[in-house]
Amino acid sequence: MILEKINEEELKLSRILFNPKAMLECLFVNKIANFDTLQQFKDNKFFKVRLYQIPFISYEYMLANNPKLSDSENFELRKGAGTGYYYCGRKIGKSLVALLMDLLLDTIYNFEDYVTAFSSFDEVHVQHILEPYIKTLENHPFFKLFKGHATRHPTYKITFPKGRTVEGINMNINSKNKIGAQWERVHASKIYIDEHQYETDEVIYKRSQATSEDGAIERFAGITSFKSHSPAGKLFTNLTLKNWLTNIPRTISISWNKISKAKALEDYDGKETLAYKIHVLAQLCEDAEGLYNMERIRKSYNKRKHIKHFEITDKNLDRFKELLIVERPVNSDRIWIAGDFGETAPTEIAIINEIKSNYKVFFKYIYNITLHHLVPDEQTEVFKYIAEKVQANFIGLDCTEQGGRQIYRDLSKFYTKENLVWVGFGEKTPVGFEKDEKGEIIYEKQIPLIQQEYVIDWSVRRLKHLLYDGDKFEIPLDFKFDKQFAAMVSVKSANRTVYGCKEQDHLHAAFQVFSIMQWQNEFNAIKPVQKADWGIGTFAK
Amino acid sequence: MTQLDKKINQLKKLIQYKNYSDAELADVAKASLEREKSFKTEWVGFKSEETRKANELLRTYIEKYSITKFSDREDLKTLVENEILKQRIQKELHDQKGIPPKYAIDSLNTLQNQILNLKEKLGVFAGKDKSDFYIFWERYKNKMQLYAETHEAECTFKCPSCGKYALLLFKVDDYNTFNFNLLRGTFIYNKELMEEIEKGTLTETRVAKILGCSVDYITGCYNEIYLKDKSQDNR
Repeated sequence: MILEKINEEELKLSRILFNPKAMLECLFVNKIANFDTLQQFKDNKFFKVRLYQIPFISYEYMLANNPKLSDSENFELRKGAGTGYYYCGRKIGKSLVALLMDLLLDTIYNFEDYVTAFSSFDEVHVQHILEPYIKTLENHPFFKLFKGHATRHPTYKITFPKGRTVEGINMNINSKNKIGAQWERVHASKIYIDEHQYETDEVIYKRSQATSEDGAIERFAGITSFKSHSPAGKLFTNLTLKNWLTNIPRTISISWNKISKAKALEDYDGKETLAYKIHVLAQLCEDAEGLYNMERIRKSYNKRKHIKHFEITDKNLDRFKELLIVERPVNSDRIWIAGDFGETAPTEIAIINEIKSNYKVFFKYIYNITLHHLVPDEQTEVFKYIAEKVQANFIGLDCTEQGGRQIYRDLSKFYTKENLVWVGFGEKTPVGFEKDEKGEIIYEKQIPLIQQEYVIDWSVRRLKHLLYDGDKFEIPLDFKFDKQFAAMVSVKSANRTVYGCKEQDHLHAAFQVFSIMQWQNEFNAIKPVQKADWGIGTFAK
Repeated sequence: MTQLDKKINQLKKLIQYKNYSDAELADVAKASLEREKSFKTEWVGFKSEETRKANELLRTYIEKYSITKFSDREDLKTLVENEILKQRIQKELHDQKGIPPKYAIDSLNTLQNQILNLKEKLGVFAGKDKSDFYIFWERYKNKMQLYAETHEAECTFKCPSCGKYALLLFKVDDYNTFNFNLLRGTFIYNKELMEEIEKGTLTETRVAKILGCSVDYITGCYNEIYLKDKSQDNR
């Protein structure tokens, strides 16, 4: 097959035809009263994409297939340009522009052997978008050319002559035993979800298998009425997806004025209510159970750097000295090693550099080392090597479990007890003195009464003190750190606070160890550990 | 003397290249040699006039269509051969007096059918059918894809933010890239406009009008982003 060479006119036209914003503006009329208006076409009336709606458009249609890249690499590029997560306030056009209009554009460009899925939490919401989509295909003079054929029962399915299919997927959130089951029949290259905040873990489990071989371009829209551990919440808080996330309030809309504001205040019972914050301000309202204010912790992130991360397993243990490339920074005043022990679960080690400058103390998280499937004796070897390489001043260990205690005991044969810190999360630690109403220390039998707190509670308090607002800590980008801290939850149970985590929390626990270690040794000037090569039991240092 | 030098010498004599520098002439000569190479085909059994016509016809096809496969080029060669033979038979028939012999008419018909089949196979008629939008759209998309592949420099876009390259389905060589400074993350925000509000040269209502947002939003941006950033910078 030979192709006629492209002429100047066609070249000029391509700047419109492959520009999604231009296409939207040419294909639809200027005033969209409701979704049904999309069926109208007038060659002298043009839709105007508002400035804040520019991120709502998918730009994958502009990309040519790069012959130097493989099919999956090309698809990855399309994913990058087409994916979008839109958690915004109401009435700013996210369903219209990001979902419905884009679904129509998708019809133009992905017309050949392509499966697109549209999903929502119930049938009514699937219908809400797919009905106007079908009507536009049937009545709009341009979209009519694509000859779509729609069936509505048992599920929405729109087929096209060249092999494109649009599947309507009802998540069936309220069903007893069919939640997400409709995903099982689909392998989509592009997935649209409306009201994504309702998606559950059960649905996501089934949806994760419903993509094409190369994955799928995801375009999800909803409001922020989710918890940070829900599927939508995980996307919302995932730093790696930040470039694809759009989170803008309803107040951005030009139609937001005194009247609509007064109405919203009345509807949502004031400015400070959860409903107002969600529907209007599009804020993720971490409910009482979220342990940390991640926004304040993220102020400590250094986004230009990634954490230096090493993994030692039972498979590569024999060459761990070659793999662990760590050193003490020249500007270091003290080096802290904090470890959370795990034998079947991983052991997480965080290495933190303390710098003093102008009488101000600043911490830098410099290395993260993860040990997998190592027995305590092996872990001791690794701890010892790291401690000597970075000339650690303090080595703190989570001694709540037997394994951690064993490493502590083993290390104590090499290093002085001043260098080692025992952290038992079930224990209490002194945090101050009991004082009377005048603020004077209370004595009992000439001994001052000591105030004590549970180590676990105090560690969280200290972490908030150290990590919030970015003036005491620098944390290079570490997605594990962000994920684990964001997933920490707490609930009040009688007089105690109970902590939990929906993810693994070992790195968080290592930081808890650090916070206690730092609290106990803030003013201790201890010499760094020295390399001790002589045998155990002959000369113990 | 190389072939290129010979070509340059040839071109030098032509009036249209009178003012060309040596480097420019070398470029034109190279392009001309390449074109000649692509048009060069050996025709067996053709008279010199027929060979000239065949070359002319082939040149027309090559200039009008993009040929990417070897098999397509061979089919095109057969098509040109058949067209020349058809002309030869037609000429002979025209020269003869009386009723043309049956074998001549049969040969002409056979050639005509072969020509039509080859044109169909090569897709020469594909663009002509306007009744099916899909055919037009598919060919147009393929043409743009081929254009992008063969004119990579014209269709490549370099992201000013991350520095990565992307091959696009349209020409961007005369476009400029710039950082779109009306966004902060996905928020509509412009520091300069906020400074104007602070100085009092622009009102919040005016900035809202410029950015196509509500006044409340601009007030929020001014208080929550601009003033906070400023206080942090001062710290």
